[in-house]
Amino acid sequence: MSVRQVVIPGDHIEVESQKNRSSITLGPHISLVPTIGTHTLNPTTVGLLEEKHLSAKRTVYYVEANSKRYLPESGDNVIGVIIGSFGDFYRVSLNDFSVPVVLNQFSFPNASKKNRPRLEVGDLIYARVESVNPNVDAEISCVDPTTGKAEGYGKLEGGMVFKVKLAYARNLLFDPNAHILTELVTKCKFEIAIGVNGKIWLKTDDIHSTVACGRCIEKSQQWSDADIKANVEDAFAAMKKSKDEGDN
Amino acid sequence: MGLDYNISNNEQQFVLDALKENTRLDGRKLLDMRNVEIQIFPDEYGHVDVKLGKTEVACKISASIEQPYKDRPFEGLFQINTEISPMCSPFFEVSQGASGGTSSRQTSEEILISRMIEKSVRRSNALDLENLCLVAGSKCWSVRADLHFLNYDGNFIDASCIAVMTALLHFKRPDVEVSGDDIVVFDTKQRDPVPLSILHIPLCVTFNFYNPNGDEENIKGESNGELIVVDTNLIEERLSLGSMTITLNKNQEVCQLLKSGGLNIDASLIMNCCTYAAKIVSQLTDQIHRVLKEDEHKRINPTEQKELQTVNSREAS
Repeated sequence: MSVRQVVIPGDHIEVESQKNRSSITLGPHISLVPTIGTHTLNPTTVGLLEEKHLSAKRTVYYVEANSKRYLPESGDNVIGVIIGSFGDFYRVSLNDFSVPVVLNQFSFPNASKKNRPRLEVGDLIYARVESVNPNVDAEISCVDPTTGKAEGYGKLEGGMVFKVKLAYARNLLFDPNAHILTELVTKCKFEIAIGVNGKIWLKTDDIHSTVACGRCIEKSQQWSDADIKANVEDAFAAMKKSKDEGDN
Repeated sequence: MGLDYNISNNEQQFVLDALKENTRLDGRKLLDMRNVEIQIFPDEYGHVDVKLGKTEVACKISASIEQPYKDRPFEGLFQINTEISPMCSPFFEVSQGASGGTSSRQTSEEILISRMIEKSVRRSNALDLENLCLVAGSKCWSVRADLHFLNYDGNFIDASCIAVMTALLHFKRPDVEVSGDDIVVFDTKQRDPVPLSILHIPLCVTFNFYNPNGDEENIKGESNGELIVVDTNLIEERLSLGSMTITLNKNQEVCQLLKSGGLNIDASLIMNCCTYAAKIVSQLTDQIHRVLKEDEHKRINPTEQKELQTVNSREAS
């Protein structure tokens, strides 16, 4: 169950008074004003207020907001570019012109002193943000801590990266029935990795369909749900036509 | 802090592979321009916003009366101000000014852009400076074009050239009356403002060169398999091995040609580029004229027009 309401900083959102402090969990972009009797939530940015009941006793509140610059949060799945290495670490850029994060060479499945991954500057990796601390560089890792295996993390070979808005990337990643993706599946076979830092890696069998898929995803940010099917249809028809022209 | 774009090897490889197959990330062919959107601000003269895909440039023209240069008493002043702020992309740093200028690549890129516009518009005599003279040696119009770079997605040069030329064509200065040393400047309400005299419309077309087989092939000069791309976006511009900017007008006169370093190309190829650029320039010139005409149409005030007419329709009594 979720309630959606547009909030701005300065709003006071009253939460039912019978709940005690420990039943409220605060997510991103929201703070709690301690008052007696009621609890007041204070959003720190503009966005949609989300309320999710994790269990009977615990409710999480957060503000779903769009931003342009990605700031690492632990647990996020991200796509980064290796921009250098120092000691046992790689320096990884998640966002152009931002502070790079670090990736330990041992943060790969089965990595040891003798068996290290060989990554070069410019390689693309899919990783998980491990820890974020205000005083040191954020750290990412290519191992799933629950299984100790890669589980999809690691170096991305080939393909292309497309950039979307941060909120849209989150939506694509967390919504299992994201309309644009289910529509693209009917058109061609593709591999995809979605980073919540607004980067989407795509790989298909040929260049033309990768370009078509990528453009559909980028443009679908502005498409209404009803138009997606027709627009995807059009994009692929145009792609086929230009591909045939190129072959002749 | 990373101060350059970090483009992964995957992206580089993909872009080059795509170019080899005559396709680009936005679905264009190699020699296709992006859609040019020219918007004129409705309540001013000479304020234009040009969008070339995601690249966006705004230009504002202003004029004031000043003293001409001592050595050119019969000419007005024309100045183009191009300062790229980090607003369009953090790639462009805050400029240090003339005294504290750093010799980093970012600033050199910026200098190149402003030089190009200067060369294309000012030095090609697009604006008739002698027409700006009011009183020889003491008073003349000083026209100033301020370029604002709002978003960067490659090809600033072409976009800003279109912006400056459209703004100059659109701008109107207040009417003046000169009697002896006295100058009377009329308010736009008293007398219709006067357009500047534009001699021709130079427009830039930038070509970028790539060679998927490496640039060594071009140095040896046996089989040149280079690819030519028009109107590159950010990632294509970063990956190109060299670029050439040609400035032409609709009469197919080459005003300026710049090919600074980069990939070696054949002279015959430059000729081909010129003929192709001429085609683009003539389309763009037509588009500029169309936009200006539409704007002129919008500015006509119907009630005012009616009052100015000598024949008034009278209501039958």
